[in-house]
Formats: sequence, C-alpha cells, structure tokens
Amino acid sequence: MAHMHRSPSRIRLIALIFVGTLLSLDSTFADPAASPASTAGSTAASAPATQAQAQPATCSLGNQLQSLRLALRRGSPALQRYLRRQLRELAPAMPESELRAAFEHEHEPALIEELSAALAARMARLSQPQALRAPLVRAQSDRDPEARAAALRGLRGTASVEAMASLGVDYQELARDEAKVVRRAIVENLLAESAEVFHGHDRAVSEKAIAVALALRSGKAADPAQAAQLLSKISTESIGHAAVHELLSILSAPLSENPAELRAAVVTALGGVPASEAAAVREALLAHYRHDKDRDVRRAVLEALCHLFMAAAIPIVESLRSVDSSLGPEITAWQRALASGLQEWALVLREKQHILPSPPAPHSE
Amino acid sequence: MVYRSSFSIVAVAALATTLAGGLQASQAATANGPICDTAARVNSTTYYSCSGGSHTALDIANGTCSVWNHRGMLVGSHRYVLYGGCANSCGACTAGAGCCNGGAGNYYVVSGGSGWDFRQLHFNTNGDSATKTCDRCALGLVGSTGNSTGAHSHADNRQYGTRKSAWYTAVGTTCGSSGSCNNRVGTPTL
Repeated sequence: MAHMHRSPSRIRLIALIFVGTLLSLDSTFADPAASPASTAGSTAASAPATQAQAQPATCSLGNQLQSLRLALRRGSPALQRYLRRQLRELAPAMPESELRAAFEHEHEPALIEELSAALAARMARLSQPQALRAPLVRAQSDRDPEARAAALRGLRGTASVEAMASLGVDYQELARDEAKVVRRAIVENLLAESAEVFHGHDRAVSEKAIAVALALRSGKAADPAQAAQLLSKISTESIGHAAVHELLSILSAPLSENPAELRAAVVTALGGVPASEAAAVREALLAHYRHDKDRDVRRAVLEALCHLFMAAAIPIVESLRSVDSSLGPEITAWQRALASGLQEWALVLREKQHILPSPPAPHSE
Repeated sequence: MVYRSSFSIVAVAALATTLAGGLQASQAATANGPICDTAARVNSTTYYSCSGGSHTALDIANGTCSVWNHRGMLVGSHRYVLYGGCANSCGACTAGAGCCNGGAGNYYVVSGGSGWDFRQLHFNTNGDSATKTCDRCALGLVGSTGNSTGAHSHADNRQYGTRKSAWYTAVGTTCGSSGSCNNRVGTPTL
C-alpha cells in the first residue's frame, strides 16, 4: 500500500486547505445583491425578515488567501480553479479597503493576479471602476515586471478599456513597458476583452487594440510579434474609417519597414473591416498582392478578400491567379469553399481548411 | 444586510474561443436567475405556465413588482444594450402583443457571435437602467412593461431571431425551479 503513503507536510497542506475552504464556505459577507432594490438605485433597502435572522460569522480574507496560496503551489488544478472562483465570487461582498490592502502587500505574482481579479470582479459586479485603480497603479509602478504583468492579467475578461478610460490610464502607455511579459499580458487582455466580453462587436476595444499594435511596431519596447498577434486575432468588424486608414498606411509603407509576419497580420485585420470600407480595402489588397512577394502575406491577402466579399470574391481571386502560380491550389481551394453556398465566414473558413489546410503558423515565442 | 453565504461554484462553461482572423465563434455562457431573492421561481419555460402556448423562454418572478432589482443574468462581464422608453408598469398592458417595443417592454440585449443573442424583457426602469458592461449588475426593477400580465423577468436565447430551448433544458430548468441569482438556470450560447 506504499502508493497510499502521504508525507506529513502534504497532509498538513490538505488539512489546511480543507479547513480554510470550510471557513470560506460558511462565511458571512454583506452581499449588496441579496436585497430588494430601492426605487432609486441598486443598493440595498431593508432586509427581508427571514434573511435578517441569519447569524453572521467571521471570515478572514487572510485565511482564504492562505488556502489559495497553498493551492496554487501544490493543489490540484480543480482545487485551484475552485478557490480562484470562490475569491472572485465573494469579492463584491468584501470591504474594498481590505481587498486593496491585501493586494498592495502581496508580492507573489500568482496571488497578485488573483487579488487583482478580485478587485476587477468588484468593478464588474458593482460598476465601480475605481476598484481598478490599485491594480493599474501597480501595473505602472511596481519594480518587478512579473508583478506588473500579474496586476494586468487580473483584469482579463472585464471591461477594462472602458474602466481605464474613466481613470485616465491607457493600454498604449502601458504597452511601452520594457518587459515582454507585460506587453503579452496587454495583448491577451485586449483579445479576451474583445472576444469574450463584447463578442467582437465593440469599436472602442478594437480600435484600442489597433492603437496598441501600432505602438508596438517601433520604439524602445518594439514587439512586432505581439503586434502581429494582436492584429491577426482582433475583430475589426466595428472599426471606423480612421483605424482602417492607419492599417492601410502600414501596407503602403516600404516593405522593409515591417516584418512579413506583421504585414500578414495587417492584411488579416483588413479582411474583417465594415462593408463601407470594403471597396478601398480591396484596391489596396489587390495592389499589395502584386507588390509583396512574401508567400504568407499573399495567402493572407487571398483570405482577406474572401472574408470581405464572400461569394463575390470568386472572380476577384481568380484575377490574381497569374501573379503567383504557386498559389494556384490556394485560390482554387478558396473558390471551392466560397462556391459551397455557406453563409457565415466561420463556416467558409472551416470548409476551406477542410479542402486545403493552411500550413502551421510559425512559433512566435 | 447580511446573509449566510450559500456560495456555489458557477461553472463558466466557456468553450475555447476560435479567434483566427478576428473570427468570433459562438461560446457557451452561464446564466443565473435575475432576482436575488430565494423566493424567485421559474413559472414558464417552453410553454406558458408549462402547459399553455409556445413560449421557448424562461419567465421568472417572485411575486413583487418594482421592488427587487432585475439583474443581468450572464455570469461574467457582458455588454447589456438597453432598449427602453416604456412607462413602468405592474399590470397587464391593454394593447395586446403590440405593447411598447413590440411587446418586449423595456429590455436588454447581449449580442454574441453567429447571430446569437440573449435578451431580458419587461423590466421597469430606475437609475441603474442604461447600456452598460458589467457582471450580474442591477439593470432595473422587476416589472411588467410590454406584453406582460404581471411582473416577471423574461429571458430568451436566440439565433438569428429564433428562440432556442436547449440552453435551459440542458440544465434541467423547468417550472418551479429556483430563479434566484445564486442558482444557474441555463447555459445560453453567445
């Protein structure tokens, strides 16, 4: 039965986490949601009599954090997930000052991220953008790049762009950070916010992502790989004319100014722009296809044209067949996918991948 | 006020998001009840009152009007777009299905990918009512605006305008199920 042996330290860890979890489960917090609303707003009026009889018990944020700290070091993924979720769910009912103090005194990046996420949960649940002030101050000023990145990662999946605007902080400024881990956190935040919170529909987030990508092209903290990552994945369905113009200006610059990976990402972004911009973008893409000999960029142009015009792109891509004979099979695959009559881009893209899979993307680490 | 925390993990069943080329694939979300009162109950699902005409949505009420917050149901931050303009009401409208906003009354829409949306209908407005991005925040008061015969919250999940039922049947929500904000009532697609 040797496999059942557990070291004393591991037993102590499990016991501590178990007790801490029970304490948290049995805890009492003032929950602003669990009350009828006053007609003037969302905050509590009086408690229903049945709920007022509940006996308050004490709950220590410190105990909860200690459980989470141990779990993040040595707990199972399921336990980590549970305790993370628990902290975020209970955060709106905790005193903000207590959460903020814990955040400011924390030095372990994993816990900084969780406490930042707890403050972000307060912001999202209670519509209090000022709850993000502490994470943003830390993201700007902490000497440890891992701590700065962790403070930013905690904001993921919330409306951080809007909240930051109200606090006078900007992802563009933060993207000038010399630490790659910080820049990556910003890129991932923007992509997650656009996709998960706004489902690609929000103009402000998309345009902020484009602005950040442009800022990452040059300067002391230049990071073309992250810029390309952002541009190739962000939704551009709602961006305005000025943002489209900025993207087009990258394509019209000398090829040597931007790496092929970035040019391909710009082309991909242009494939998703609003219909009102499609005509100008088509001309630019057709010209670029002839001018830019990079194979990946040309493949991206074909995809962007198909994305913009769907079935109407069949003759457009045919007109490019003579430019590069090596991409003939690619053009044929797109034409077959478009001719299938599928009405959604996601389905067309899947059909094309089924007909002729794209080569694997280069590893950008 | 204080309450004894009945914390339960809300499993956010978010599918991995495919993001190639800005492609916004649809995702599964989690929806809790809209009223933070343990008395809130589901009283209509696929059929009105579970035995009447076709409904294909959840109606949730707690027997009050303009008292309790009508909260965003989706777990996690989402953009709730307000369509308002209807006078607050606690009774039945007199103009049939044409009552204010085509019968929807004051309502919110969260727009997802591939034609999916999630709507919450019939609430009364207050100072919290506005287009906003938040997580289960107060959006108004449980009310009866639009084509409604009594204060309740109507929630539906549609694709290209067609109401779907899988989002609540898949988790076993039916008439009598809890409609409290601490209880998961469905997993809508967005």
